Amino acid sequence: MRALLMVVVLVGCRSAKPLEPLRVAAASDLTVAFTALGPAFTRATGREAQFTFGSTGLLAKQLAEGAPFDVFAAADVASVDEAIATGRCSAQSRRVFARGRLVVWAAPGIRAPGSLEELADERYKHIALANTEHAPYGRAALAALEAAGVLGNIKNRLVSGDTVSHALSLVRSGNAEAGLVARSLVTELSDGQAYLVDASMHPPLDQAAVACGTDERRLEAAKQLVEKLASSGELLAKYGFEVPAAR
Amino acid sequence: MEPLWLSLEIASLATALTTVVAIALAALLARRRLVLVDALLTTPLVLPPTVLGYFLLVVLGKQSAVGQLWQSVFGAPLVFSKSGLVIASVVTSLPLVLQSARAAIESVDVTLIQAARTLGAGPVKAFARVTLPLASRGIAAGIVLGFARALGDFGVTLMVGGNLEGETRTASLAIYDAFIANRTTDALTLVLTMAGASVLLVSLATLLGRRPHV
Repeated sequence: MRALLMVVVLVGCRSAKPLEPLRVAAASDLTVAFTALGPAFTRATGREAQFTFGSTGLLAKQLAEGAPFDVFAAADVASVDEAIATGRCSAQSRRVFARGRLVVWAAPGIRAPGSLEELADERYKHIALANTEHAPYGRAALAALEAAGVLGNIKNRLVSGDTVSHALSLVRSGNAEAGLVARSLVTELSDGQAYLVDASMHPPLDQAAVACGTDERRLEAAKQLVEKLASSGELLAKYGFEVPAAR
Repeated sequence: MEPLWLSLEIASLATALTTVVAIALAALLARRRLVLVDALLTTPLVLPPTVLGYFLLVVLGKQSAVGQLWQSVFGAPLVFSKSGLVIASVVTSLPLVLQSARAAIESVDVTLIQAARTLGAGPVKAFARVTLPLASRGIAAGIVLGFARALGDFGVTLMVGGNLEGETRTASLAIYDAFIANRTTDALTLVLTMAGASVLLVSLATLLGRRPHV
């Protein structure tokens, strides 16, 4: 009788307890869009989505070292493929779900340039970008400046944030007069504040996601989340991403 | 190796500044109970680096009144510069030097100082010739700890440094970048050097902190 009661109590506890949340590691350019998508993810998977935003390189490294992420969403495809190669993520769940765009964003009270060449102007004493080694937007920014032939002129004015969000915060706080950041983080492109960099100036900023982990039930939910993400093109487009259907 | 030399340079400059300020403050605080001043100067020891980073970026940033005053006096902003990192290191290492120096100064036998005064030494001379030599080991131990602290800063450097080669890309930052970018050898070299330096410095501080055998 006592044993039966215990089983009843245990089962009761279990059914009352919500499912464990999913840990989603996402590139920092996805911060705004993923935060908005949170409720949709929960509806699709029945689990709460907990986000860890950071530079794609850092998250990939942490994942490779065994960080318990259920979903990895990166700002480049290569990092996702490497995560799959480590054997921790499911190749079959891999989706390229959007393409990011680079914008030049000017600090409050500073006029944005009309071209990348105009960044050579003296009013931009410091120009912020993401880490040029391990953040995809940092690498793209460097490539675009080089392609525009302006890199040599402004090299000593470039300052790096750890992530593209960090670069944007250096601009928003007025410490850098301009920055090369993700359009997805500055959704409202008000006049004079931004210049959209031509996508042909840098390697594509394809966003890819994959489900990871060994627990079957969590992996199943993670796959559902990735599928939901891949079918959220309309919302992602609203947040400044280009989506496969539109290309 | 350049990031190591840069860390060394920043830590040396910061320690030189810290030492002067800390000894002056320690002499003052050893005599008077200025609780609020004491607390304010010691707080950075427990303050998250992000708080200090926020202060440097927002309160002392380019757009702030203080930041603009700084810029008009020194011609360059505090953020993205070596001097900004030196200032940050002074703030974070000051408590370590100050607390050691104060404890050392307080432990000096008052009768020795009084004797010097009765023999005609002024308060400054008595401090310089009697108190300071007797407290020197404790002060030196604090200086070594402060230097080690300045050598290893990461949080503030990451937040406000801008990762500029030769200016703000210190050893800590170079290790972080090398680790993430899978440059294993670079990371390992820097990690071993920094770890070795830290062990040496802390050993030195422990040796200095011990009372000499009489």
